[in-house]
Amino acid sequence: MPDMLDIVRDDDGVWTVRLDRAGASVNTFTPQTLDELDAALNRIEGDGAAAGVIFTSAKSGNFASGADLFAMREMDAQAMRRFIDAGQRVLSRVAALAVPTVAAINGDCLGGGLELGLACDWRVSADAGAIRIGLPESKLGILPAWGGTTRLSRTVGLSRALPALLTGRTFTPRQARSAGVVDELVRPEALHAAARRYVRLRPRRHRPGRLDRLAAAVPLLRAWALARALKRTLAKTHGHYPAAARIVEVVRAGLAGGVAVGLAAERDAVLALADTDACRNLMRLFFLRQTARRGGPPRAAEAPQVHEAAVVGGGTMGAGITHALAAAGIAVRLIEVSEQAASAALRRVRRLLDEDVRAGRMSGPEATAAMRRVSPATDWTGLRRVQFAIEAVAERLDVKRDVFERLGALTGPSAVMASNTSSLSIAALGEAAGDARRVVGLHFFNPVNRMPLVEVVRAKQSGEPAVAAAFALALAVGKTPVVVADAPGFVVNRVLIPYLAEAILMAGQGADIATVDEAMRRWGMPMGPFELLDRIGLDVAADIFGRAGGSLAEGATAPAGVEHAVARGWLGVKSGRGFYRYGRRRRVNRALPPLVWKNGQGAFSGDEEAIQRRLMGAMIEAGAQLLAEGVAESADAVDLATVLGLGLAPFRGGLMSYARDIGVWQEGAAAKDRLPVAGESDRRPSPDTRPASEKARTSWSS
Amino acid sequence: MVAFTTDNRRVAIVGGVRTPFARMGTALAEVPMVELARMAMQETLYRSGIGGGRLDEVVLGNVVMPPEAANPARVAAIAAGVPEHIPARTVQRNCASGMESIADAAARIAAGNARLMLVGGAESMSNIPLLFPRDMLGPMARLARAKSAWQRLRALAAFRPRHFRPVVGLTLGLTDPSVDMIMGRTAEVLAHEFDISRDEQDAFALRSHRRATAAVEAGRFAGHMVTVYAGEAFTPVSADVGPRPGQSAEALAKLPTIFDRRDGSVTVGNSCQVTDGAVALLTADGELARAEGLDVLGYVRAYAVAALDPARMGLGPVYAIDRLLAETRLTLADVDLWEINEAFAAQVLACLRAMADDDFARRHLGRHAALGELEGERLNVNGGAIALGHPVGATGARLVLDLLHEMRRRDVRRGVAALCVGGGQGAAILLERS
Repeated sequence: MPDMLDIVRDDDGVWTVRLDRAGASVNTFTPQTLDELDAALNRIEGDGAAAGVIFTSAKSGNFASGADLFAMREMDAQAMRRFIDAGQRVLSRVAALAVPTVAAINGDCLGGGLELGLACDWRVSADAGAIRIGLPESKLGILPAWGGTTRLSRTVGLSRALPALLTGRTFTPRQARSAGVVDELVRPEALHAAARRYVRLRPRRHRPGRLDRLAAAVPLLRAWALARALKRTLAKTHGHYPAAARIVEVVRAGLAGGVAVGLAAERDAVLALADTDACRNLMRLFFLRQTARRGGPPRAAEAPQVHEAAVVGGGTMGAGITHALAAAGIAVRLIEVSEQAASAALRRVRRLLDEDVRAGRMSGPEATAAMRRVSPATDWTGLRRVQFAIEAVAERLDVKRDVFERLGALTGPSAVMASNTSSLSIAALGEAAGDARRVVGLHFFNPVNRMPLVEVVRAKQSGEPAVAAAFALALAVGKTPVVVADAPGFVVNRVLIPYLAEAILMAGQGADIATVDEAMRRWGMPMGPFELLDRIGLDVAADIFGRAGGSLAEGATAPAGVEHAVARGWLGVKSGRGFYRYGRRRRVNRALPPLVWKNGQGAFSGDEEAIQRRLMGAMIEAGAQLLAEGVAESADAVDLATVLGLGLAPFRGGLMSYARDIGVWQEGAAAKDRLPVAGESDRRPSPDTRPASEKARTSWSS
Repeated sequence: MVAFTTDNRRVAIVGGVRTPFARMGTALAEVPMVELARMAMQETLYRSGIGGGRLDEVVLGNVVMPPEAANPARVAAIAAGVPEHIPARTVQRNCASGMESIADAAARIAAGNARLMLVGGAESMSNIPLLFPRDMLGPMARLARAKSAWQRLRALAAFRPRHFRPVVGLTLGLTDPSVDMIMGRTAEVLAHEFDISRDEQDAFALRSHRRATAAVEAGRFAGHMVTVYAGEAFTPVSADVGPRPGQSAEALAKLPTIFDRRDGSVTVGNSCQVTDGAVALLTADGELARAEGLDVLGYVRAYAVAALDPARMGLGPVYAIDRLLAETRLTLADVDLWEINEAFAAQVLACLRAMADDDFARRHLGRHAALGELEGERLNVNGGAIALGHPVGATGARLVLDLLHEMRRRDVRRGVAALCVGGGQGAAILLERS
């Protein structure tokens, strides 16, 4: 009895292979899946009257998510090679079938799932915005090696295949249709009928556009196109992602030498890539993320599903959270101070939904339905039946305390109350609510619709059911939750602030801003510290530094100087001037560093590596410290939080993983006293010698 | 004849809100009727703390059903977050539709067949469609069937300019085909029959505006009003668009008589306004309301509907009130506060005269003596549809909601809301606070 699929033949000779991995909610491929597919192909090939084959899935919302990475993790090099070979062989058999073959894509179709689809003659997909279709292997530092790299470029052409393969981005069905990855979109209920129509009518197979065919046929043109793509990718990845170059190479081999040559190249490439640090780090993060989503506090799985929630405050964060909840099918009572504010909040939510519609994530009617789930109120009514309330008002303790006082009085006895604060004490808010057991932190990042991380803050008094409910809610809105303790800055801001403070200090010592930013981008940050400061807004940054200064950026007086820039109206991107001047071209604002750092001596002279070591050193130091204090449960949690919350170079494997790799930190120890950094002597003008716990308390009481 | 009491089981009204009422083409013109109903329903459920999943049914009054939402009650209920397994029904008794939804719930609850029902009424008169004339159908059908260019050209040639002159759906809806009279003409009939002068009508209209304006200023509606965020800009609308603080007798006197230009007395100034708005109310079994500590605004005691000559439909309230009082063995004096919907000033004044007339009572109501005098101090104390407007499907529910709040404010026991119904009917409902 097969465990991975079932297979039926109807009276017309059409075979349907339905992927259906036993005991799982999604289909992933193991060696056993391949064996069963092999056996199914034997039966089909032995059927002289076979009219065609339809591949589909019995899982709701999932066609197949590719190879089972948990199974692959256990494989040695030998087993891995056998697995790759078996996959290539089975999918080549599918491609070689004499009868018509159709993939009927009823849900997510990723990696090996799409490689199976590409081995078929045609692909039809259900027209549902939630479905993701793509080859995300490069995000794991590898490439599609069951013929996907080769077949995708031969099916849709160089110009469309390369970006998809290099970025690993996934498509909605509509995007996949216009890229030529799927042949047709149909209503979900008609999927099987449509697949049968393809078997019956055998329309022409999809071919790349004329330019792409030309590029594939003319070696010189092909070489030029590939070289250009490679150059662009390298400029973006700084060579940190070895998969990129290999993908270009394999595409070249497949287009020039045919499918067999392409497959051989895929296999060699994937085995080589699997042995790189980048791949190991990316895979590890993938598992961390999976485990974080599956694990969580003991009772997260039992937490009752939230149907009705309240959000207090509809500013950027509040509207973002409201949007996330409404899009996930949760009704939101949105509390605002005035009708004008409520109106603005509704407009913000509507804009985010419009974005979803434009991106194909939602249909127009789905967006309208989501909008209708948002019920604004300016009088604090309607909170009695909500199961979960999230506060997202101005970052001021008195304002937030007032909100929690009201929430405590107005919500039902089992409702959870969460604060989206990034810097205030959850314990203080719990006290205001009157029932601290029901109060937790739920720290979303800006912009909420793009940032995958949520810090679930467990204060000392937080009850386990509340923590579990917060964790479950974060999952329900599609985020990855990381549980942290109620300490200033939690994890992400705790490591970010000293990093930014150090950068400002460095600028005060004469380091060139553009050079520092470039160095950190080359290290693998999505943007440099000054670009980030300008983006955050210097007023916001000044506020954060002011609040967190003493405890986080230990003894750093430089950040306090940001206020001088704010006083001049230099707020960063939003005011057109910050560390940079934003015009048609961006230029460094040379007038700023002397303002922030009045004692700047022009003492800094270090190369790129010195900059990277010093800034990352500040971050690692904070990471080690917070781990020692138990703010995060593990170094893994810090890794996950820094990658998802800061965009910290995923190929580095996260902050602590990087620290371990370069030998400055190990599990159970504080950071090595200090990283060997340039300009050490200038670094800390007035070291604060009080014990960390005491410092924390002082700044905390504000 | 329809009349029933709820003596065997108490029917409580435990909450409700209305949207602002806004004159056609103004603040709420962009908001479809289903959206107005959705917001009123959603807000009512939130404020009451009752989850939609506990409802037995949703019943909504609506007169001109939007073409894009057959059974708008169902569409609005789902949009309001009422779970899909809760049924919903739209009721239509023309101008009494909103009140009919309450009576409907009362009858079901009194019979022990339901415990919680969400009811109300909604109308977007701004969104009543324009129609193409019927004789356009022929050429349209031929065009749709045409295959060749020549056929298409011939089909196009069959169109005439008159085919493109739209028929105003609103006018059609306000015209009673049984007697071929637009509603304003029926008011003219009563004005002549009861000898009601233009001055009397204008004075009544002025009083309506003054009372409504005073009620708005005193915030008497604000507590049970939900702000509508209208259109793409989500513009907040939180006040009625209708009552005119600066309304003067002189201005009213200048208006032309539109239904009978030469001998008439009915003007737009002494008629109700054409308006958009929605109302939702939560009705509950009295026992359940008490056990759960719900905030009971009042109880539905009795309901009556009577029918009469369509050309004199404005007298409907007299017949319905007669039935209601007979059924409950009460007199005019037993009821503290009254609402008679102001379709037309002439029509309300005619009702008052008929009620006070022994001869009318003998000939039409089978009573020996008149129902009695209904003084102005007890009638429409916060103004009426002349100032606030008459979104036909919603008004019956608004009268009940506003009346219950006024009864609470004045701490009085009984109230009656009644309205005349296009087509020749009248409806009346008796509410009690204890």
